[in-house]
Amino acid sequence: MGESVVSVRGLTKHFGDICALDSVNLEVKPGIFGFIGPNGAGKTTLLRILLGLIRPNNGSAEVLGFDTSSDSLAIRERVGVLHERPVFPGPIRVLEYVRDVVRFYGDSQSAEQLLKTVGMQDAANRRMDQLSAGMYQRIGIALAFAGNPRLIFLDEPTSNLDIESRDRMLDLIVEENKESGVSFFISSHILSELERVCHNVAFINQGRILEDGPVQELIGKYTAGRYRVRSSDANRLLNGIKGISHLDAAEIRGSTSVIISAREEHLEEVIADIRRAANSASIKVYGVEPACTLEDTFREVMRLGPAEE
Amino acid sequence: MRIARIVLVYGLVFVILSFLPGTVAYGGGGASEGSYVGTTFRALNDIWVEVDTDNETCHFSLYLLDYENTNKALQDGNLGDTEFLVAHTDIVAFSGVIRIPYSGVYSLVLTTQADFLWVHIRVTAVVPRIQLLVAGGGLILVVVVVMGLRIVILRSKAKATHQIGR
Amino acid sequence: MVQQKSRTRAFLSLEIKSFYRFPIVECFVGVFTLLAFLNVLSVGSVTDFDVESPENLAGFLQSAASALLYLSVFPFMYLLVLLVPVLVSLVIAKPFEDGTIRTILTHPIKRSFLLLTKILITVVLPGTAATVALLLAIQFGFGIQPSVSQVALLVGSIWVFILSVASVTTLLSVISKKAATSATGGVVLWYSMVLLADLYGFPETARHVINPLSAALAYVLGGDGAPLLADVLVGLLGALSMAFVFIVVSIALFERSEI
Repeated sequence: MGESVVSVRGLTKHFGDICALDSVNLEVKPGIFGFIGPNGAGKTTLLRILLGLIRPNNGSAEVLGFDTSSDSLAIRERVGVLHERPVFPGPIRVLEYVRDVVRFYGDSQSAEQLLKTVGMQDAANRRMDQLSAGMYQRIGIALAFAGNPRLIFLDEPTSNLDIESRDRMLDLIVEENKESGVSFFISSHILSELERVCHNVAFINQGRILEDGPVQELIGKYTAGRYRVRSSDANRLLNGIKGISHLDAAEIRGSTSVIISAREEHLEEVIADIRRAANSASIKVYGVEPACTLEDTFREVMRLGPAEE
Repeated sequence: MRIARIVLVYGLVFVILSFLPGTVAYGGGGASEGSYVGTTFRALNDIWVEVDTDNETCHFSLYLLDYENTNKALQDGNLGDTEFLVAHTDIVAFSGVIRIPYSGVYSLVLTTQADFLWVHIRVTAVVPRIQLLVAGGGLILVVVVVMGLRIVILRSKAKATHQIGR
Repeated sequence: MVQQKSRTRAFLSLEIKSFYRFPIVECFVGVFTLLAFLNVLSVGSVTDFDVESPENLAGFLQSAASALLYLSVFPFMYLLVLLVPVLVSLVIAKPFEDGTIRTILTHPIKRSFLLLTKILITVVLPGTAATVALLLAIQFGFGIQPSVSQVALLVGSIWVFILSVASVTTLLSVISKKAATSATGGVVLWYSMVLLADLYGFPETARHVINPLSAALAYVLGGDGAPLLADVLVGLLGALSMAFVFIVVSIALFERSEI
């Protein structure tokens, strides 16, 4: 891995009394990076600072080696962006709009190629304000690829897309990264998708980075010894398994799952006790599996909160 | 396309303007034997003129002069050497259209054999104003022809491409 | 350089397609042409003369041409005062409201270039429509030729007037970022300034700076109380300077705006 594509040092941003970013430090290496956090965590604020759309109160940020405050034009020449809920001028035809945007960049794929990439070639002559939400999103994705960018920021890229389009979108990200070396900075709530494509992730909450690192490393770190028990009634199961020996922790996840923590050496014993408890309470247990997804990791990180410095 | 639309708008506006009625201009004065009274006005196209006097039995002559001849008449003090565009002699009243050859400044000059005659002149433009109507209609026609040709050319091109494709 | 040219053309194309689509420009053209012709097509004023008073004719040509110019251009002033603030608000403040400004600034475009180009279009389009309308009216509706210097003065005043009204609304748009606020503010502010300028004792020069078109029209029409040419030129220069200052401040604020 080479130099960082995004480098953030001590970034702070206030909107009146609200602290949107609080001394954020972040290094994003080339590859596919996932930026994860709840609503209002500061993801979009950081993206806007990285694009030079707003200025931080403190700290500095660099994208592809360019300072966001002084070299924003150089950054925008080299990156592609899909904003969350993108807004395009309404009355323009799709192909005309994409053609004009392509002309902003020196070297770019043609408008027709970009539309083909996202499967929108048949909508080329439709007006932008007559597109469905999914089509609108796909136009935004196509435009993010205009100018052969080295880095693409995608804010909620798969919202409004159907399953097939999502898969195609994720495949496109992986393919572009592999073949063209394009790096991606993806902000999304759909963690299963990020887990599928990202090399590295960072978790942010209330303007502070809680954790960052390679996806599998973080999953391993935060979900070791955690298992998901799928049952017919999670509430009653949780009540029934309280007090089981060697069960370090248990918490409900939805109506049918309970997440338990136990050491590996005691796992079989704990599972047997859980099954017995469930049986006596007439609760069906469908299976026990490691709770080691990115979503599980995110929940654990959020539960633990920021590390003490 | 856009230029064509703009030219079309000019054409339509010209056509609308050509039908807009104008206000009536009032002139006149006192004329006596051996002299004249005149009213100068600006005219873009044909005008409707009404001339009457305070004595309906007195005869007068009415002449239309262009600006040059009006000046000449003024310098000479009489209408001897002037060229008239229109002349109506020995009349007691006039009401009708006077043709204007080109837009400019004209004068209606009136002479009489009566001792004194008080003259009222009313002038108004005739609608439609042919100049504007022709200009507007011409622009619309040009746009229609050009657009028509464009459609024909595009269709024949599309046809040729289709045939090559087959 | 080539890249900048391509960007400029792309941006102009986007602006025209986004904000000046059919029939906006066509309406400008139609309305300005109608206004320019409306008051000059009638026979209008006449002058009577007889043997005793031949001099009446002498002044006719000069005064008629000036009056026609006045009648042709005067209605522009009230149209421009409404049209320009609405137009500037539509192209500068509205993109803040609907979010398209963020989309466009995601692409490699300098903010100063973006704002200047937007102002330029809002000045050039109505300015050109008004100028062409006036020239057409002179050609097809006057019947007499006014002096070139008077026409040039009025055309210059129209452009400076548009620029000054546009610059005020640009500043309001950048500050408020709301289309309705800046459009209303632009109109109300200008009318307030004109009313203020009409107060007794208000400096004549300031009045000409606030409304250079009115000063130029008064000069062209002539008569008692008409300003001197030098006063009109000072007014034009003052209005240009004021517009320049407003635009520079607008750019400075826009550079710091949070998008």
